[in-house]
Amino acid sequence: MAAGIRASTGGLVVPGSLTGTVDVLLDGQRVWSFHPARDGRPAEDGWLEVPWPRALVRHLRGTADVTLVDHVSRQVLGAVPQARFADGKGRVRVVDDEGNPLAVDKGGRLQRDFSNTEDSTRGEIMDALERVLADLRGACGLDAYLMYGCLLGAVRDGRMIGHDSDADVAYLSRCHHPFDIIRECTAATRRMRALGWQVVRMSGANFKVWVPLPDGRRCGIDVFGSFHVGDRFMVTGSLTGRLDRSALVPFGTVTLEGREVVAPARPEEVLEFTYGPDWRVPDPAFHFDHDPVDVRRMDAWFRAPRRRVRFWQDFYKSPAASRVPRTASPFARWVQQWLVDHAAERPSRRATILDVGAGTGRDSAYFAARGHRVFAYDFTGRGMRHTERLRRRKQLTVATRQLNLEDLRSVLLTGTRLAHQRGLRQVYARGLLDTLGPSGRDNLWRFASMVQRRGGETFVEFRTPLSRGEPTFFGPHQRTYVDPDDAVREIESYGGHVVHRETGRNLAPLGEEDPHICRLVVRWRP
Amino acid sequence: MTEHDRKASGDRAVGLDRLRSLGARVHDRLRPSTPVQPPFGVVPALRDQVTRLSARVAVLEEAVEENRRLNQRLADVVDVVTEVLVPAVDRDDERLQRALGDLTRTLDDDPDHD
Repeated sequence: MAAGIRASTGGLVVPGSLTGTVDVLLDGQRVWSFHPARDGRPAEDGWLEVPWPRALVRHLRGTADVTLVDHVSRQVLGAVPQARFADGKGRVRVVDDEGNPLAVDKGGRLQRDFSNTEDSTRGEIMDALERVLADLRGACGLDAYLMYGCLLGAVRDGRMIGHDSDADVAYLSRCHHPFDIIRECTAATRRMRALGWQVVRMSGANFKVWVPLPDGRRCGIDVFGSFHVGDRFMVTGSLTGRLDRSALVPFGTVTLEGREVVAPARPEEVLEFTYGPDWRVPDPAFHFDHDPVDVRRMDAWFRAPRRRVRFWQDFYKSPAASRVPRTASPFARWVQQWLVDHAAERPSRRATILDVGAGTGRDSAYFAARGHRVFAYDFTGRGMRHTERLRRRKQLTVATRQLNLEDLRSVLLTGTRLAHQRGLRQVYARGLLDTLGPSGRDNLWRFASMVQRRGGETFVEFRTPLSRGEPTFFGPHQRTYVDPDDAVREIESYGGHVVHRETGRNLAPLGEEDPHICRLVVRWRP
Repeated sequence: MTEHDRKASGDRAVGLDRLRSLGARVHDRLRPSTPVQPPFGVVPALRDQVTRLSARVAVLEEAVEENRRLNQRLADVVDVVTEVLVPAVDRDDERLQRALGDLTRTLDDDPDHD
């Protein structure tokens, strides 16, 4: 056992000689696994500093006995009794809202894994897995088979892998072009929903089926599209390489938790293709090391609509989100004044405001408090939770709606429905252009021009390129600095005309940050 | 060794010498001078060419990415049009609303998904 291992809020300090996969236990509960050489950075005297994964940091409050264990041999490698973490009293608890233990999965997220799952619940998961496979193969007509962690567990020891948290299946597409693959997946998603499954589209070529479990939690069954394009075999996420079709078909079976399940013809070959030659050695710290070229290709084909979803979900779950002010922004107050000044142009003083990219909803709450009818649109509802209590206390009504501006379908469908409804509406988008790419911005103009065919104004505020490189209140985010001239050109190409334009500083100061800002008010031709 | 043999041997030697000499000249012609000194102006020109090609590759990569993204956009448009066109032409507002609703439900991502 190595002496001198240290644990603090910053991370672990371990000997540089440590190898293999190391499980980290807090008070006996595995919360994470890592590879010292891969995840550590050199410290003094040949030691390594291993930072905690981000998802775990916010749970590290209080005291815990930290134990490091070799994942394969179960040998204890080191221990730090009574390690103290940031400003907390009591014991560190890495649990969900119901008190169930969590561990960081290979995607860097905290999940309940199968190691804490009762046998009866495993049976329920297997029931669901079999039913999902049956519907994919029967009703959807897809060649579905066991894949990833489930296939690995089945071939290795016939059991689900303890550190896994989702069940994985794939289907072998009959299509060879991304356009057809997307259409095939959309049809399958729709069919599964029609059969009563709760389905979430994760990309153009994979989706997740949520299955409620008797113990109150839900199990995700991931359904991955796999296909041959040219001489390459690809499986969503981003697995790409050469695998002969004969390794997959004709399908055979493997045994998982005592049941026969459809599997590739030569599962060992598929597992080597997926995890590399060491696939037989258990490794909860395993990370896919895909070629960035392959990831970029799959991103562009299938994941463009979800480009920034995860970033914003993670942001609203992070402590940084609590730094977002609860009070209205200067732009919201400015728009309110505009609405008051132009009230005579509307049939009612009470406006209908679509707060697009509403974030935490601080401005939505402000507009609602001024008597307006407010709809908060965002691609994640997580941000709105931050102002939930405020709205409840002040009895403010804000309807929340999902809109993903990187997703053309979402824009067309939401825009069509709103365009069909009577009445004027205002579109309010503060800081939204800063977070969108060119296609998302295109979709914003399309959306605004659709929903304002009966009138109304679009109010946008964004940072200009003069702010590029300046320190920001929230640190580095992926930001777009749109040139106001470009924005105006784009707006005009969608049939809008700018009725007000101003630029300058001291319009949206936040902490030490005082960005150079552009404000536009736009009207759209009917 | 006879006179004839000596002569023959001398001829071979001369022939070999000539061959060696020719080989050395060819070798010298082919061997790059050390260090390589390209003619004046070649290095900046090559550097410019590399810069231009890098810029072109970046532009092409961007165009390829955009083309790849078109698959999803086109598939979405085709899907929406396919689902709503028939009820729209039939002026069946109820079916149209239902089709839009179904499409929206198919779309819904799970905002709470971790």
